[in-house]
Amino acid sequence: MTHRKRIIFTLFALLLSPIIVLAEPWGTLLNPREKVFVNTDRDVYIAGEDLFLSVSLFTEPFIPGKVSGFVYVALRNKLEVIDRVTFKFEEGKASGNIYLPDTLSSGYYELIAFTNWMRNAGEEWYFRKSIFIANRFDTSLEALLPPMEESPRVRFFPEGGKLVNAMNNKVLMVADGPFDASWREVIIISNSGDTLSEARLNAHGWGVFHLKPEPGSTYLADIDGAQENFLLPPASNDGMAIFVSSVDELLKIEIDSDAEKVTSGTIVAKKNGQIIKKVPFTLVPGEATVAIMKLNELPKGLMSLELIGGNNHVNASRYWYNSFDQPEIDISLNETFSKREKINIEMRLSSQSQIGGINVSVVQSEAVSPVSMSLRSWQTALDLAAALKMNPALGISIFGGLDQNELNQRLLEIPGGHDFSFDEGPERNAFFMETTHLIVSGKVTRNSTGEPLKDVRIILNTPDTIVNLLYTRTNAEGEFQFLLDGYYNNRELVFTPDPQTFSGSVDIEIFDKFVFEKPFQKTFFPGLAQKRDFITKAQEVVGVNKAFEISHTGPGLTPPRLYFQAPRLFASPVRTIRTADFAPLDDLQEIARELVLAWRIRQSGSRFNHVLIGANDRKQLSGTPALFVDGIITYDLRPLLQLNSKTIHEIQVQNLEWMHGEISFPGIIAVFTKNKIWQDLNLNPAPKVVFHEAQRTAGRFIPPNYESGIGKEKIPDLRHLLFWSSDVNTTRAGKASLEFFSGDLSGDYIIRIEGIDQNRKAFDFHKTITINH
Amino acid sequence: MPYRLIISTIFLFLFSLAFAEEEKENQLFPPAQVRLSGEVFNFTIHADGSMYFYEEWVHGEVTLNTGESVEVEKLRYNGFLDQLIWLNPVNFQQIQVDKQLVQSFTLKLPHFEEELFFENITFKPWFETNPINIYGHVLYDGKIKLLAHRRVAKKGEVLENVGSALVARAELEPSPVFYILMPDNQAHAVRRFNRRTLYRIFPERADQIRSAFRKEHLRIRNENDLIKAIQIIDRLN
Repeated sequence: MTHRKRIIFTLFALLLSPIIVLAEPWGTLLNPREKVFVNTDRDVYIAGEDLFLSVSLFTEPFIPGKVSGFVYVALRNKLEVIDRVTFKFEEGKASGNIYLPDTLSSGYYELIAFTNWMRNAGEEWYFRKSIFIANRFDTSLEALLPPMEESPRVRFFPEGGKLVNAMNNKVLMVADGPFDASWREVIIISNSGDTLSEARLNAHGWGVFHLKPEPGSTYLADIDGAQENFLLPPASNDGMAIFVSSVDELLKIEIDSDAEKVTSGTIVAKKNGQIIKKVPFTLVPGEATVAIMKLNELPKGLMSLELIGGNNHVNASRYWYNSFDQPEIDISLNETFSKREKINIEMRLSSQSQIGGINVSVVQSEAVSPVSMSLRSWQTALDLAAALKMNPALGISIFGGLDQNELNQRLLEIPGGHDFSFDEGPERNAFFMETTHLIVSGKVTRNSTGEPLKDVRIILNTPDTIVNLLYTRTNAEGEFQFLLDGYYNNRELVFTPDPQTFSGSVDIEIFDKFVFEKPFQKTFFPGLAQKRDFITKAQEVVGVNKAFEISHTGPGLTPPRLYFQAPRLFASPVRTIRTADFAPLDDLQEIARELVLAWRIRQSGSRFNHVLIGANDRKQLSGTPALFVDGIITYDLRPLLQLNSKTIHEIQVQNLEWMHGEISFPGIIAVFTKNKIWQDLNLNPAPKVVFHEAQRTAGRFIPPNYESGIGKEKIPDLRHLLFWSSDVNTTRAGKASLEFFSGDLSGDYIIRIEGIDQNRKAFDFHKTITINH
Repeated sequence: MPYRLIISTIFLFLFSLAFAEEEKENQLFPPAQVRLSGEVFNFTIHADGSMYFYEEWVHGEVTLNTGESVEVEKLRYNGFLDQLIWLNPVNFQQIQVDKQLVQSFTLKLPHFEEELFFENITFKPWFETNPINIYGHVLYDGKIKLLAHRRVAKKGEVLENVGSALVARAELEPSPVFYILMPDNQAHAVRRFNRRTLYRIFPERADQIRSAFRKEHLRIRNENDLIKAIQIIDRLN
């Protein structure tokens, strides 16, 4: 390459580089990362009840004004989306209720939450949560049974990476697949049939056992209820076995090795590939070797621990998660209560003042899944997924719902082969951030070829008794967006392409936010089949509440704004003609001639031309006036000609040369029909019509109050949910006080308190109380 | 030669980099869709003096009844017709913005630090039977409000021969009217700058106002003094 050519090539590359710059990574000022978490009052419901939920929004980096203002929540089963709800965020939090219709069949359902901005990142970032809903009239309750194949899928993960002969190995055993392995007993047997170890799997279907393999032996795991046994991986003669645990703020690393082969080494702690701590060790034959690291000297989050022998060879390694501290929560509360007794929770958070939006739910313990994921656990799972470069949805499915001890056990399954790029942003964000307005978006394509069309003007109207109009143009991808204020709530949106901006015929597609690519997530709650009695009783409870018309759902504290100004094209017309004021006429042409006067419709063969005479100078306005029927723009007069005095209510005439933004209207004729028959008129070009559902007004849980309960004894108080609030605030001293009453149902109730501290880190607290009668 | 090429390309690169940043910012929010509506403005008058409060086109922001605002590069207020005129950048037509759709607007006049705020306001002067609607320049907004109706009035006309025709040429000049708007939406017009007018408008507190003016050494000789006076009266409320 000559020098000149090289320079030209470099310059060309330099000029192209901004295109690369456009692919902005996530988590920057120009491309903030958004995540949402949904708290629900419980996990198990009966159709006919309300589901109370609150949604927390996390934006990184947080820049006021660059934060989503709305969140979408879908409730779906394996067949369809049952309910689609839009909630408004107030300071990063949204709350409300979703009524679960009586007609829902028994089974698992999925709650999916996302913002419009999150749609750019892909569905793996959407929040998903499974709930179980039982139909009130379902007596067989077959849906309670978990999916059962003959055997689970079983994997073994020895601590340190491999099983080592003659060493005491700790092994994680994971049993999953469509098989409920929760709380099952496992025995490890040798090829000679001896039982060498035992374990009990946890609610998630995994557990830990210890094994000291002998050379030449093979071992099998026998899971209670499984049809087959599972062969453990072969053990190696070389290596070290490690056993890491945390005790009293100390990280204790026990090393078991053949001291004749390895005499000394170093334990290296690494975070993001950087060495953060080195501890040398020496092995003494016949003695247990223990190395200690202080947890508070180690960074928070995920790190790796490597045992490096004298030959600089990594003999064993594992991940360790050093969890973030959470504020200490002191709760002062009795443990047992009687029927309709006042329950007073005094809560105090150490070193945190004035925290708002704390979630508190007090619900019967059977209605909570043992694998339910808390906000804190979700945050940790996402941290781990990021550190391990895992798909966030996969990270949440593995690490969600685990406590610190369980996390570090589960981390024995050293994940490999993950290369999910957490920070890589899309080249182009197709969906905008909805800060103050909801956004509807769509695409215009050529009807014949499907090719996207640029610069097509799309007009948005909604049927009304006034002429309203918004417009926008399509971008290079043929896409367009409209910002919708409250005026469009619960109205039909009518999109019409302006024929002056394209040729041929076009299709308009409106992007449905509630269409999901990822299939319904099959799941099951461990131990749910054993809760049949509870579910049956709950069905009866809902039946009784229905019979007494008892509901604990009330309107939100902020009344919804009901009145919004329309984006009008003009405020008042020059002239309004009401057909009822005149003798009936047979068609629009006659009405124009006899009543409107300033409107001239002329027929030339099969074509119709029409013009308006200006109101100011009585001169003909140059061009064809804009036509609206019931507030919807249309460009072809012919379908309207059939309208007559019987069908037309009024005609508004704006015979002025009118401008709206960049659009020039040589006068405007707005026809309003008596029965809003615009949809029967075959308007040309055919508009695209969708219904725009308003954001849902937040309902809240209103518990009964027996403070002055005269006469209330006659009304049953059968509640699985004693209390729910998504907006508990602490004082400057970090204190909060809650008061509510127990109901008539005895049993154990779980108090779950979850919040976000001043560093946007989640904290939680669980406690069980008993209601006795 | 190659060095010049390199330098100019680096400049081009930096320019396109800035453009790329802006593009990315634009990917966060869609373009605004609030637009002004109005009639093409063809009104002319053969006159000495301007119909406009400020003759030049200035930058401003119009807030519509929907509560949404639109920034406009070229705006001016026609005091003769009490209308807001917008120069549409697409076809350079002047548009008389539909007054009933406007809630308020601002004008950024050169050499003025603050934007002038005009409100589309309907109120009832105490001496009138019907309410009036104007674009009022808000000079003070407290419990009581001081507005200036920046009207341009025809003070007379001159007849002159243009060719063979006798033509009337109007004489236009600014003729602002100040209104003090009470909390009950009753308005009092202030046509002269003096303290006595204010004592008459607030008779029950005339003594109090008099002593406050004395204390502040305030004499009302112009618009700024009137604003100060209204501030003082509002504080006394």
